[in-house]
Amino acid sequence: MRMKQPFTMLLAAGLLAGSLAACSSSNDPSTSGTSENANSPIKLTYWNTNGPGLDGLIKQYQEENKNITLDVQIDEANHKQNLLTALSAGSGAPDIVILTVDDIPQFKKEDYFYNLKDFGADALQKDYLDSRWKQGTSADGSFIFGIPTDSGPMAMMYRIELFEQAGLPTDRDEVSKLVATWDDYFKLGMTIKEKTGKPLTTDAFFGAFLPKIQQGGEFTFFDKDGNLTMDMNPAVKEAWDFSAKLAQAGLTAQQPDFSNDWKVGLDTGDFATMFAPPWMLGLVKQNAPNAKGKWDIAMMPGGSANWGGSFLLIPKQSKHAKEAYAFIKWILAPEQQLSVYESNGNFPSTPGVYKDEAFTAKKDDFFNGAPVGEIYPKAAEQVTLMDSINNWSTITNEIGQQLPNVEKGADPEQTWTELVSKVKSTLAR
Amino acid sequence: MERKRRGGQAARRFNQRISDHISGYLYTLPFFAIFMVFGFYPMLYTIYISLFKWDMLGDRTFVGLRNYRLLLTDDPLFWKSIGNTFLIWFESVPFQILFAILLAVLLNQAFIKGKGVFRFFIFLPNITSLVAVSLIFANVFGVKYGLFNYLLTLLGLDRLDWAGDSWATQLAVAALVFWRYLGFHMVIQLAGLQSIPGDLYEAATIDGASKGQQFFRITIPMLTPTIMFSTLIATTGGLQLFTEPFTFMSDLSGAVAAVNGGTNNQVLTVVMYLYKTAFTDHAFGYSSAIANLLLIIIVIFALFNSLLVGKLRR
Repeated sequence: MRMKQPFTMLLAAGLLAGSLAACSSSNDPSTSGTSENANSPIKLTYWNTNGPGLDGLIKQYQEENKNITLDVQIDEANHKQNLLTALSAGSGAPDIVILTVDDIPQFKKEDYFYNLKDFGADALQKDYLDSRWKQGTSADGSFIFGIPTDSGPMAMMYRIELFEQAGLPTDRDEVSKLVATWDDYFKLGMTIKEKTGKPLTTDAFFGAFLPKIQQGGEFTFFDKDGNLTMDMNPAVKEAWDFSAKLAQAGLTAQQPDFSNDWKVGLDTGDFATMFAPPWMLGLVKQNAPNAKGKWDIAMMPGGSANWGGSFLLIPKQSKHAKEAYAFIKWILAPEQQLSVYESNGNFPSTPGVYKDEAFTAKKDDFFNGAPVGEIYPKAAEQVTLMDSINNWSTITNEIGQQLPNVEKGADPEQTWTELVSKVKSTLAR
Repeated sequence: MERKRRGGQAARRFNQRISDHISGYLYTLPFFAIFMVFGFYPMLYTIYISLFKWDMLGDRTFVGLRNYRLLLTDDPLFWKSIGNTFLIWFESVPFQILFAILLAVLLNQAFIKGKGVFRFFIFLPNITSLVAVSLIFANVFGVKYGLFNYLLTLLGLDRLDWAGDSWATQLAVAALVFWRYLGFHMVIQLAGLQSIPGDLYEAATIDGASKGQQFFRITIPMLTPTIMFSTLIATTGGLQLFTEPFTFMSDLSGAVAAVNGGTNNQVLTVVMYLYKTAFTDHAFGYSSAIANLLLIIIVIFALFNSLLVGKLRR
């Protein structure tokens, strides 16, 4: 429902003023929207999801800007479908929409969103992590689709007692050194398996493929023009081969992240390590409350990689793009990201605040007092540029489906060949 | 005079007939207006879209019947999804209807006390939130920590791989469907039973027919239309199965398994495949073609069913 009254009042005001500014072409956002009167009430529709923890800030913004009302709507299950429908129908899209890193690649179509560069968003780039910022822009960086919300640099959770039983060091720094490279990580897995009989990680997809492909550079499945390159790019095959190697050596527990068996496994310690961005820590506490003090956190192999986070975008249908942008700019500014971190633990994508006292001092009792305020900033700085074009999630979905078969004994090479041809025919439809 | 009056009467009668007609149409108009907008038009639009290659955010490319050709000749997964749908249907529906009849007959007996309580509890799964139901089932059929596998190990048997083994996963989903809709069909059969006139049984008893004879010679024949109705509902529902396997798989082993219906696509139903091609692969033309083929299959089944009912009625 759009409020008709304020709109007609504005229209009348515009006619009275006799100004034609409001009727200028919509391609020039500096004058689009109705902004003759800064204090006229404006309602912004905002399609949100439950992840980023911005609710408190949304209230605050409305208190500080009396003329802005934010109509926040959450439909978690159909979020993406709703947006697709509204965009292709040409009406019904909100003024502001949130999209996750997994979803944004498929929505990067310049006809449907405002280029935030036109509002001066490129001046903000210096405040954000490069790796996250680039995910929200077109391949050449000329079109800024969205501004990053929180982010998910990964570290490695490890099960203290399993490391003890395997005769390995349990000190964070030493564990970090122990898994400097992926080869080290594999060797560690063999040691743990031999000494304790326990697998190294949750499963081949979340425990190996995903982090490794995220370290594989900016163009993995597609080149910069959007052509499929997954069968030619060595980074993809390398990630696949490594996942298959772990699977065949029996180092995966086959308890994929978020499954029921995984939840129990966190509690009982069915796997020795798990890759965890900051938002994962909350899930672990929720699902395995009895595991307090049994997990610790170290750096992961190969530096780090980003898993998760979202962007705020402004669909072209918005009549209040300017106000929407002002809101986005404010709510994702470094100081606001810091306050969300303090209240909800969502990890900022603005590295400027990592030096803040409130930040560095943060330790997590549940994870044996791990200094998360030091570990994650260090991880965030090591995140390299990531793939964010086209059907990223279409392809990861196929890979996530095939890897369990390799875990169950299917031939990795044959599975890979089938996978590539499957992806090709899927993309041709 | 006479004739004139009669002519007037005829004209009035004629007018009355016309206005009866019109009011009849007016009464059905609201339904048809809504159906046109929300049912018929989208159906036509789906047919139109299925002739294009379209990702919903960009240009449509007209491809004619290519989507249908690919589906029928070059997409093993589509046939697999049809096979899965029928297998799950076959593993759940016949038993469901059979059990529903037996339960209904049991609960219709005079000697059972507290019928209302039984009926309520058997009907309960049908009105329980599906999310809760799938969670429970995912806990029962967990591979490593499921109740079922725990019982199997207690008996000294091997664990079953509920997430990876085709038969096991399908049976788990069929069990979910069976349990969820049993109560619904039982209530329908109960209504059918209660509409059988009691004097038939009285007459049979006087003629010396045993309880068993009464069941097979009176109850079952008189129930046939109700059974047919149940079968039709269960079939159209079963062919459109989506939410049960989807939520069950997502609780059992995560989002990827839910989208693909398991690692071997073992519980990927037609509607799940439709959902995957639309919202994971963004192939909306292709997805629409699947929807249309599914419609054809359902229509064939409904026709078959009504023919069967017609035969049995005679």
